Amino acid sequence: MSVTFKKITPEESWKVYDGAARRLLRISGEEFSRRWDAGEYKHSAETTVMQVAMLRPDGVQLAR
Amino acid sequence: MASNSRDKAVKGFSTTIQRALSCFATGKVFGDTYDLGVIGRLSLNGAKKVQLRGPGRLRISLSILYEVLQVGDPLRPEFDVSTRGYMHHLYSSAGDELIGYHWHPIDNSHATWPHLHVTGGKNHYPSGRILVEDVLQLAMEYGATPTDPKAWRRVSKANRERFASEATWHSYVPSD
Repeated sequence: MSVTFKKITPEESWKVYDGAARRLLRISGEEFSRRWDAGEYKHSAETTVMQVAMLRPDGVQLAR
Repeated sequence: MASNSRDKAVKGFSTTIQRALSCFATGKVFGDTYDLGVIGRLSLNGAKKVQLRGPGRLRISLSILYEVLQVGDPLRPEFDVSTRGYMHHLYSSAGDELIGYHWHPIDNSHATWPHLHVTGGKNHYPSGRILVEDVLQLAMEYGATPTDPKAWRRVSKANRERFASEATWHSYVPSD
């Protein structure tokens, strides 16, 4: 068994995000970004929402 | 793992995770940046469920936020990588969520402290900082089996020792 490392491009990172949004929430990454930025998930406690958000390549800021 | 190049720092950070996962699974850890000052993402197979070795036929999903930092200490390597968040899950062979270890300190988040969810429930049980090794240790309780138990113990110990000596925080303190 072996786990290797792969550096992925911004486009591949977006595909990971988009794939997670489609797999977990049945929406596109673009639609997830729109809903997130509109605050529609602000009070959501769905773990799937945070799973997708944590993969978003742009626009998510750390709460420092 | 600190290094004098950003790519080696990220690869070193990933290597400790790969070594632990390699005791139980096959796959790829994706990392999407070597840049300073931005948040990057590491994920195992794009955060999809990956089967762990053993009769439990458990599945795991992992994603980690990280940041490449300039150390600024002439006595140390120039770059280091710090964990900024994680989402780790274990699933039964049927795909049901057994446990989710979360730390998602991002905007719009309802819970910015490290916590866990049990069997997909919505309660946020506060936790300490959780390592990939912790998730794999729990997986063994559910029937995951390392290919070489001695090697697993050696890797787990080495990674925990590195974490104990290098981590910038061990217990969560909220900001104002």
